[in-house]
Amino acid sequence: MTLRLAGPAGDAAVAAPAARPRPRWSTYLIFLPAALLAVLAIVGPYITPYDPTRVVGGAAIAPNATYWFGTDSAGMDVFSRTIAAARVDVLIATVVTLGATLGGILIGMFAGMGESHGGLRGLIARGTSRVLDLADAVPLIVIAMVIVAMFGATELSLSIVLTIVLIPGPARLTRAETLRVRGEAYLDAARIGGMRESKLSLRHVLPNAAIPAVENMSVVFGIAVAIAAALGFLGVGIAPPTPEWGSMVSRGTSDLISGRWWSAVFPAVFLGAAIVAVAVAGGAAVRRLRN
Amino acid sequence: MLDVPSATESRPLLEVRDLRVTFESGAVHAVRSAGFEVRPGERVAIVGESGSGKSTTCAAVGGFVTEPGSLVEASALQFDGRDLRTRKQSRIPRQTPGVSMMFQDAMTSLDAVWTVGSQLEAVLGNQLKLRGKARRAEAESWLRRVGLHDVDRVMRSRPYELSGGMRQRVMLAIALCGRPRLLIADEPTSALDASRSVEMMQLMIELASTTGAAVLIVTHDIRLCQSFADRVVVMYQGCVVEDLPANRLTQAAHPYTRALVECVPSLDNHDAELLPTIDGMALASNVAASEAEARVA
Repeated sequence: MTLRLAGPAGDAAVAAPAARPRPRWSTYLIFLPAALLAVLAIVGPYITPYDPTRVVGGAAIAPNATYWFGTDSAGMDVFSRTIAAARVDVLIATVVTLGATLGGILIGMFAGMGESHGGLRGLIARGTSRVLDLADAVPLIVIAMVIVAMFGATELSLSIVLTIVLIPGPARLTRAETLRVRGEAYLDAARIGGMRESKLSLRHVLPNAAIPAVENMSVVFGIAVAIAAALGFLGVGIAPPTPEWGSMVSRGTSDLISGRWWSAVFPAVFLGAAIVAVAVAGGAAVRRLRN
Repeated sequence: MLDVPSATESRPLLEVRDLRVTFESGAVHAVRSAGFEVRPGERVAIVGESGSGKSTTCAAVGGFVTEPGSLVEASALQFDGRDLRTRKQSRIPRQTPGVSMMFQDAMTSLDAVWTVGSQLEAVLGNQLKLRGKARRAEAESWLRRVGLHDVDRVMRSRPYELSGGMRQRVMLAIALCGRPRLLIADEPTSALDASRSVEMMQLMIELASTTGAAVLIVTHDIRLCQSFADRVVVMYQGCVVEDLPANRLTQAAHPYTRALVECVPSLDNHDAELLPTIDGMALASNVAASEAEARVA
């Protein structure tokens, strides 16, 4: 038989896919709450009408034109404190989210890649996995409380503690994904193509195995904000007068009982809104990237 | 048939003698006795039914038998003057310089995280040590050679944005761009429909011959072998039962090969009510006897 020659242009050429249409601008509105939160975290402390850490008026004044959210039992302006607190809480949660996700991805990949190895490496990898499982059995808030109580609560110590406490989640996600990715044919194809194992891990295993942990970041952010606030509420978090939503809610609770609702409700609403805003934006971002 | 210049005189590129592959510490004999040669630029097809050991034979040649408890033995296994038996057998497959492989499923052979262009360029960087603009130009020219239009966009696409046929073409470009001396293609067309697979085979054979690569094709489609291979190696139950030029397939001595050829629908038997079938297990007992017979003949 004779072979037909497919010339340089190719007689069986195949067209490339059409470009995806640009999404409408209104679909970006879902990111607006999270963007506002970010703006608030950056400029919040500069736009407060009063100094958020000083007594500025009488105690427990109801919201009015001068004090929009009223004043708390010490006479500090609740509005100033609420928006100034955005920086502390968002900063801690952001650092913790990045740290826990990054650390979790590295630990999870190490565990996933090493588990079937023999010798010391396999032993350490399997041990790491079991420690991650074990960490799941202990309530996060209790571990966090104990460590913070031991080292004192500053922004830095709180960030470190929350990072350690939140690492097991992304680590276990990444480990499971690593085990799946390890069986993919493109790894063997790359090996046959002469790629070294270290580069293979970086180029093919890491980006594929990290996807679930990255998608999970908004959830970690929410948990970090909630735990930071919960520690503040329990009295072991950032100490007053530094504005922080959790401790503000905590101190406002006694006022709430006597009917002065504003010093607790406003920071609580901001706290909830921050968590929802990031969760919504995170979910939307994941859906967008998947399609 | 395209001429392979001086293929018959030259030293074999790949020589396989008495290859045995066992799995699970000897409990499973996937390949019992396989032996064949591939000369430079030659196109050899290994045919056989599922489980005949044809894929395992290729895996053994490519250094791809990595399951724990597996063992590859041979009295000779050399490629391009290099003894492949000295390759360290490990859990991780390694590159055998000069050998390239193409897998059945193009979907899973490409990483969805990276663009097609970056994956093709990575191979060029690894194997030909090309960098920068030269590498990009080479990558684009390979995509053009495998018949893809709109190369710019294909370079920027991720694997899931391409159709199955396009991915297969990309895989072919990746397999050949490192200028291998031997391309092992394990059922390269099984994911494509009949007309596409002929097209794909044609492209593969044609590109391989322009780069001078020998091709070892694994397939269960004996008709494709007849049209695209110089030589056909027939495997049955882990043994090579026949090794003959493709154009003499109809004069095969072994009953299994004859049965394989006969059960392909063709214009000669188009009026047959039933196509002949092969009763694998019943034939198994006859194999040894027929083999001896074939050898005498």
